[in-house]
Order: sequence, then structure tokens, then C-alpha cells
Amino acid sequence: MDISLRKNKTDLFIVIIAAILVVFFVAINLFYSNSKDNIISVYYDNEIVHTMYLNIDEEYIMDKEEFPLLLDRMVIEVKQGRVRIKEEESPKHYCSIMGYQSQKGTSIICAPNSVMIIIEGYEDTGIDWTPGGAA
Amino acid sequence: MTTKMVVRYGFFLALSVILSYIEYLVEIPILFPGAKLGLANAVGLLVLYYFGIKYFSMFGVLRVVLSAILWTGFGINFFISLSGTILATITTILIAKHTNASIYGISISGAILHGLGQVIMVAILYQTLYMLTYVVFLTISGVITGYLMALIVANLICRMPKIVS
Repeated sequence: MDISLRKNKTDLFIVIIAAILVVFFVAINLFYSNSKDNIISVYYDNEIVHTMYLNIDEEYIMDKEEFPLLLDRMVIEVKQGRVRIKEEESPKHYCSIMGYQSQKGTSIICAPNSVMIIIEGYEDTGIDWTPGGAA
Repeated sequence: MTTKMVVRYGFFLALSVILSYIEYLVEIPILFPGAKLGLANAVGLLVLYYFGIKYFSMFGVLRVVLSAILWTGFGINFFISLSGTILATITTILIAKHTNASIYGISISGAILHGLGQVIMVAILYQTLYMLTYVVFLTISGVITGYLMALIVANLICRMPKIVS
């Protein structure tokens, strides 16, 4: 096939397109870093396996085949700015009984399934917590 | 395709499988984690130059499938690798056929789209857009490694005898 072995203007054009692509994705990166407060991290066996956003409704299904430490299939639901474990298998179903959580910094821990859901960020609740302190 | 060409094509294919295996075993930290030199893709460029688009079109997919059979298996990595290879192959063919880009432009565009294809597949498999931000690093490394591979291939072509008649 006749392919030139010397650099030409078209090559430069391709590099310029690549530069535009970089700028475009840097812009996306900045957009996502600005919306970091809405991030929900799903941990499985102490590793982040999925990221969700409080402002985007989504159902994340975790299957036993893919995550063998699960007791059975698990469904995590983000709906109207809140997150909950919709379906799970555990001895007393505490994970799903916890219901919806929406406060930044809170977590849903489902130890029997080795799953932890953390709403990233910090939200001042106005409560002055004093460990063990009774006024 | 003559017997000579089949043998030479097989030789290039074996070389690319071995090179991709070496890169799989020894991950050289170049620029960013996950970025690779793309030595196997350099062999692909030689195939494009010597055998033409028709044989190049199946070269990348054959390499990925052979690597999966021999070493890596048909897990998630296979699909990530396959998506990158398919996107890079399509881009390379389109650019080689419809523009007058040199081996440098072809190599750079192929390297960039290879990374982009892989990131898209990761985003689909893990249902997260987070990986898309990684495109920035893969694009920069794609330009650099694509240029380097083209430089190697251009020098090889100048020094090697015309192997395919």
C-alpha cells in the first residue's frame, strides 16, 4: 500500500484534533470534579466497584456470580436524591431496613454481604455530637 | 494470497502476539498507568504497509483472539482489548484510505482511538463515566507512543527489503 513515510500537513491536522479531544475531556473532567459532592461510592470487599450520583436516578444490580461474597443478588437504588439498598439477602435484612439515606458523609454498611455504600462529602447537621456526653 | 505471503503474514501475526504478551507481562510505566508503547500495533503498521487494507483489517482482531486463546483468556480484558483494536483498525483504515496522512498520522490516530475504544468499553462494562476523564492521559500518550511507533516502522521499512511483492 502506498503510505508516505514523511510527515505532512495531514499529520499535523490529526495532532490538532487530538489536542481538541484533550481540551474537551479536560472540560468534562472539570465538570465532574465540580459535582463531587453528589458522588455515592459502592464498596465491595473494601474496593470501590461502582460510582453513582445522588442527582441521577439509577439502579445498580450486583450479582453473586460477579461478587461471590454476596449472600444473594443485591440491588442498590438511587432515587430522587436518596440512596438505599432495595434488595439484598442477609439474616435480618438490616441493610434494606435502613431505607433511604441522603445526607453527605453517611454510609450504609451491609457487612454480611461485604458491601458498603458511602455518600461522599460532608454536611453540617447542626448537631454538636459529644461522645458519651450527657448535658 | 500466495503461500509466501501466508507465511509472512503468519510471521507478522506471531510477532505481534509475542510483543503484546511481552507488554502484558512487563508493564513499563510510560507516562501514565495503563499506557503502553503499542509494540504490537507497530507490527500492524508494517502489515498495512506491506499487505494493504484487506489483510490489515483482520490482523488486529486475530492478534487479540490469539492472545486470549494463548494467555489472557476471554474475560473482561479481552473485550476491552477487542474494542480498542476494532476502533483503532477502523480509524486506521479510514485515514489510510481517505486522507493523505503519512505513517505518522495513521499511527497516532490509531493509538489515540485504541485508548478511546478501551475506555468506552470500560465505561460500558462498569457503568461509570469516571473513566472517560482518563481519555485525556491516553490521548496524550497516544500521540507520543503513536509517533514513536511510526518512527520505528518508517526506519524499519527503509532498511528492510521489499518483502511482499
